[in-house]
Amino acid sequence: MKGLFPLVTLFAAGLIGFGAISPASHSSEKNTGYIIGEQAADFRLKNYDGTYVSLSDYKDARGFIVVFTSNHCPYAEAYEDRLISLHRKFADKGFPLIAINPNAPEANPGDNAQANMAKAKEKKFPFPYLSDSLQHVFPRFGASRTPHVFVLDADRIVRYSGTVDDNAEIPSRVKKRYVEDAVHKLMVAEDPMPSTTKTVGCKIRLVPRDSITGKVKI
Amino acid sequence: MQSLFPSLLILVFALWSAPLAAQEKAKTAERYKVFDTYDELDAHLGKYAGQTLVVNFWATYCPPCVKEVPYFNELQEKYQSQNLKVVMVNLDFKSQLKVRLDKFLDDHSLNLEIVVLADQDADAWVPRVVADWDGGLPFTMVLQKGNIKDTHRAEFENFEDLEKFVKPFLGPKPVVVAKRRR
Repeated sequence: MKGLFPLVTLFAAGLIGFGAISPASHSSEKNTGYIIGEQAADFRLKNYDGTYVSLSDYKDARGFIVVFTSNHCPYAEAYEDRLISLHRKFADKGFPLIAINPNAPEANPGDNAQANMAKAKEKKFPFPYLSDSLQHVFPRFGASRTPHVFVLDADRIVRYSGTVDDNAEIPSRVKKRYVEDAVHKLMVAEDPMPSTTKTVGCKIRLVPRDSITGKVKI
Repeated sequence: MQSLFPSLLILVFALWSAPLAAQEKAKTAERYKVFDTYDELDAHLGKYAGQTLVVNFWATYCPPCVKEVPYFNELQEKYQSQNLKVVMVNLDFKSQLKVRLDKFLDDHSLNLEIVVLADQDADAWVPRVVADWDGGLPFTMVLQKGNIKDTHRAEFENFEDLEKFVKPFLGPKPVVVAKRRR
């Protein structure tokens, strides 16, 4: 079978650059978030129970598993139980999981405060489930869809960004546990490998704004 | 004669219903192929190397994707004669096809080739499509002879937007030969 994408292979191997023959692209995904090795700023977001949560609240944390997730995305739902397992496994070891819903409730009522509370209670989340409804935090991380995981170390340095593992649909067929492996590496002061993975999920729903005035449309 | 009537009735019913059932079965069987690995999808797309191939990655849980599906349907219909092939690669979970994709297809009258990619190892297959694609949906690319000519990493605003993206790569319009009058 003749390979379908020989050009892309060359491209990936770095044999050709962004020249005339490289595929053009109309990208709307300008990722300006943290790069690996960059320190994440702390945040203060409202939890589903009405309290506020910041990373600095966790005095003994050796790191964090920050997950941008949502209520109805099939990928997010597929990972709910695995997020709970990750928290149960690592919170006591100094790596609590913090879930954040980045979707704008104006764009998607299924991600409003009430829905977040319903989800957290239904699944008995043992971790905070915060709302980034004003959408100030996820752009800093460069999250583009749900679920998207960031593993931070004790100094809030981003050490891993990407997906949880290599099989969203069928947990029993998972072979590569990226987040788990990343946390294990941090525990022994090593660099996660890989430090980034590609994610498939649901695009984060933005606050609808008027294209001319920039004001929020409701 | 009287005793024959019920069996005749059954016979008539069987003759009438059997092809219908078969038709119904064929309809669902042909709605879409499911590929468990990216290699299978790659091989399948390779069959269209002789055409201008437009590939769209989408899912029913992606609202902007759903919105633009009819534009692709219109594109396929309008440019069929100019050697255009559109393949819609659906990324819904295999275990949810009945409740998601089948329902979507029930609600939309589409004359499009739809395939399902059930390869779950996104980190492995996403970069094989285009090295710098981050897996965000929708994603559209146009290929000729297996080479990617252009990519579009957002939804199309409308049909014209999609048409403008594909037009540079379309084959010539078929020459219409006027029928001679006798």
